[in-house]
Amino acid sequence: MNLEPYLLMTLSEKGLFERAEKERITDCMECGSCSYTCPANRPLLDYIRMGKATVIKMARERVSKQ
Amino acid sequence: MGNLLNVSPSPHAHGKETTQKLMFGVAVALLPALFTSIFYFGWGAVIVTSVSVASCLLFEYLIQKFLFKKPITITDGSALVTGLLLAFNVPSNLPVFIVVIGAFISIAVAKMTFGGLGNNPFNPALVGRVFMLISFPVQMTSWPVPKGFATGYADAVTGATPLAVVKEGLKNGESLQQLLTQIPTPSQMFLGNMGGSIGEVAAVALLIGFIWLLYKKIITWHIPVSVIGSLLIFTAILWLANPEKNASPLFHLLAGGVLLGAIFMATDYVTSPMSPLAMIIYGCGIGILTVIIRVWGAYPEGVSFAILIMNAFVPLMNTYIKPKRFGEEVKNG
Repeated sequence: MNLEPYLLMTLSEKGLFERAEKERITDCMECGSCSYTCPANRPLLDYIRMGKATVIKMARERVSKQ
Repeated sequence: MGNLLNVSPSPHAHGKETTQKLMFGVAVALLPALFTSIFYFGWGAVIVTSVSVASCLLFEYLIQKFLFKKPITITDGSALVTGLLLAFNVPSNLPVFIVVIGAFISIAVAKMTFGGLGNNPFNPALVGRVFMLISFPVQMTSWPVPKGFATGYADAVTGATPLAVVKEGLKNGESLQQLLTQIPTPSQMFLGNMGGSIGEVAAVALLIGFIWLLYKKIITWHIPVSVIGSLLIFTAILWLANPEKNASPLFHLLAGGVLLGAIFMATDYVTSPMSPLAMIIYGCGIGILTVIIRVWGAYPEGVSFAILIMNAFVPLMNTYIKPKRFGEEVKNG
């Protein structure tokens, strides 16, 4: 998929959800390979899940407003 | 936020890689260079390396204990690697107090002010090295002549590095052919029998370390190969254009710290770009800047400055050079 977990995690952590959407956070299928392999044991997938849920919620609100 | 999300769902399994294993892998890769430099420089190399490592660990411990008041992580090996690399970048007769100041700048200023491992924009060991080079130019550029344990520490006989000999000579109008007779032959330089910093002299030992790092998959080939490749191509162009004034690519590769910088300093995870294409651009930038500083700059050696300058471009490269996401390009849509 060529996503960048380090970037998606940081964007979710800082609350920059619009940028996270542009970086295609919703393409993440939560396989967990990033968290499995991270040598520094960062909670990558945890933050990506949180960011993904927020981005999807924002997208739904956009649709319902139309 | 961190505590809130620590009660975590999948993945419950975790791979065997840890920061500690990677860092000790790098430290093992540095051992051949350490042994060859002890062989050439004797006690000086032992004293400077052990002081540098010990003071890096000590400063990291003190800062984490009394300023951060967080769990102590000096056992993760990153301070060990910083200490080794800092020692590898200085002459073997450097006074102990300068080594301690350099270690303080590396750990306290370049690493801990930004939040510790993972957040520093510049390579800590190189910041310490450049600080020492600018603050103590005399001590930092008097290189002991390699004589094994006869070199001594405080009373070592000093001489210039091959790069400095050539740079000074060309500035004074001497011919390159004449200068090349004053410096060690390429085979001597390959084995490390020349004046220079502790870790940079022996190309063969650094290459053994490079093979080990690749075998352990600690680094990928992109950055070292692009640094060395761009350096060789650029110096080859200059050499072919004017062989009277410019030294050969082989000389530029073996003299000075290109191999140490390309293999161990430029590949630092924290301060190098993420995607393979950005890594290659970063490596080419380091190689070209190194040659520019060496040929036209004020210093005979430019690897450390080149790496620090390119470190500053890493956030920019991470923002604009990204892997193509799946489905980004719509064909027949």
